[in-house]
Amino acid sequence: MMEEYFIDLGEKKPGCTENPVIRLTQMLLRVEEGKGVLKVASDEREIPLKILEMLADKRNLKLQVLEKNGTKVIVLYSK
Amino acid sequence: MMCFLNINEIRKDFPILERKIRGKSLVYLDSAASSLKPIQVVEAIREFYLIEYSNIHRGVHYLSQSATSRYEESREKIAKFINAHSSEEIIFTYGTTDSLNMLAYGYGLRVLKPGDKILLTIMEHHSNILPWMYISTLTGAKIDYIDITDEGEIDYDELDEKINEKTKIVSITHMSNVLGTIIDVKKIAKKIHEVGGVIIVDGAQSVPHMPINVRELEIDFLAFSGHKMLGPTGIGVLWIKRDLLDDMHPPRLGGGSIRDVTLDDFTFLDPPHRFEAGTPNIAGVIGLARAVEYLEKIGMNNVRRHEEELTSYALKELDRFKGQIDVYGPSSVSIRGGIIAFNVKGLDPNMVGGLLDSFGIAVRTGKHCAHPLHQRLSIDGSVRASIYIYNTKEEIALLTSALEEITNATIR
Ligand SMILES: Cc1ncc(COP(=O)(O)O)c(C=O)c1O
Repeated sequence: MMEEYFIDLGEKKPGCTENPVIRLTQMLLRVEEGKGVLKVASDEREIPLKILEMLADKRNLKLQVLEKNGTKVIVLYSK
Repeated sequence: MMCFLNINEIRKDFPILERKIRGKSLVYLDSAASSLKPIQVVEAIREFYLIEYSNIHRGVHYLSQSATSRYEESREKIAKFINAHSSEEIIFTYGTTDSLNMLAYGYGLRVLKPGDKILLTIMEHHSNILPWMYISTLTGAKIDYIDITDEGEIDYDELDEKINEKTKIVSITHMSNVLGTIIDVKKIAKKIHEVGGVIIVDGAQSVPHMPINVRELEIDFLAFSGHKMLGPTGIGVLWIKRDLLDDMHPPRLGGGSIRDVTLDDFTFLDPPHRFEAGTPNIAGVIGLARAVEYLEKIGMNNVRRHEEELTSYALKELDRFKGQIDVYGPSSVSIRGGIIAFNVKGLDPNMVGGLLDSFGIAVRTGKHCAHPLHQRLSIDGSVRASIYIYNTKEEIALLTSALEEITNATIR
């Protein structure tokens, strides 16, 4: 069974390992290894969609925009 | 471009550089966190464990005596590397953090009194702040900090004002692990000696990258780590000037450090052994000595010139991104090592690091264990690229071309 991971990039917690961007890079590695898919909620004012696309492109992953509501986006990374 | 090192030959000694990350050649720009290891160092450790291994000092058998010789010869090699008076001044520790903690507990706790002052800078690594914070609570001594200028240098005028007869210890980095700034420790040494205090130098970032002559610098203590200078992890050095060896109490007590023990007393061995209680990291010492040999063969002046040249090229390239990328630290490479911290405007540094990783480029992101400095710079973190002997101009160009793609993608 494929795991589905989820990260809200707007959810900032104290402490460095709690940084959602660090978690994003950790989770992306799992997607690259074929361990699951990753849903990411983001705000284009903080992280432009093009940046999320570049991450997928350079890591040979597929990116699907699931939702777009104003500046808020939800995307899905898969292998 | 002048070539001070034969980089192609050097790179052959680092097989990890042949690795592909996501189909791209690895560009390792994270040596300030930890350097890569050449085959020679790995082989020296492997050989020691496989055919030479024994505990040191206490044995009468052949293997133990030959391991002891190797260990003590390594100490001599390292003493020469920094131009110490003698090998008794070299104490093996677990790393810079351990060396600084040993100083805080072994020296600070002994000499500091209520009202005394410990002077640090706001660019220190946490390893050169936290031990002093704790020691100040135990002794009643106060910590004061020197600020930085807009150029990322320390404010020498403020330092002059803040050093007085209450200042017993100045503990300062020789090269900032974020800004790359090289501090004029000799100037500070002269000043603190005028008032009878001592200077402790955190050489974690300087010893691997430039010639160090502790006598010429007129410093009192020096701490550094093996893993940042081609050596293994878990081994470091604390150099203590000969005249101060007796002012320091061994913070760790146990086997290997004493001459005699009765039921209610003991006598120490002479330095350095009195500071090395317990079985040390013997293989680590041998690996570090091999790393020093490797660096000496290249020549530390050549290491420094190579890094000056690459840093200068990198700073010039990054200058093209004015308005899009903020670069921190001095603009002159004469006072800067090969550490370049920066931020892409409007993008979390961790995201920039993650993107660069997608290009096969390894950099470090975050606050680099220097929270007070990041607070001073009013930033939440930074991306840090750091270079060493195996890095090339082409790799810097790969970094800047990746940054070009990233900055283009941030245009909204
Ligand atoms: C300036 C400085 N001091 C101290 C340290 C701590 O070194 P270690 O982790 O090897 O003990 C570092 C490590 O990054 C450093 O850069």
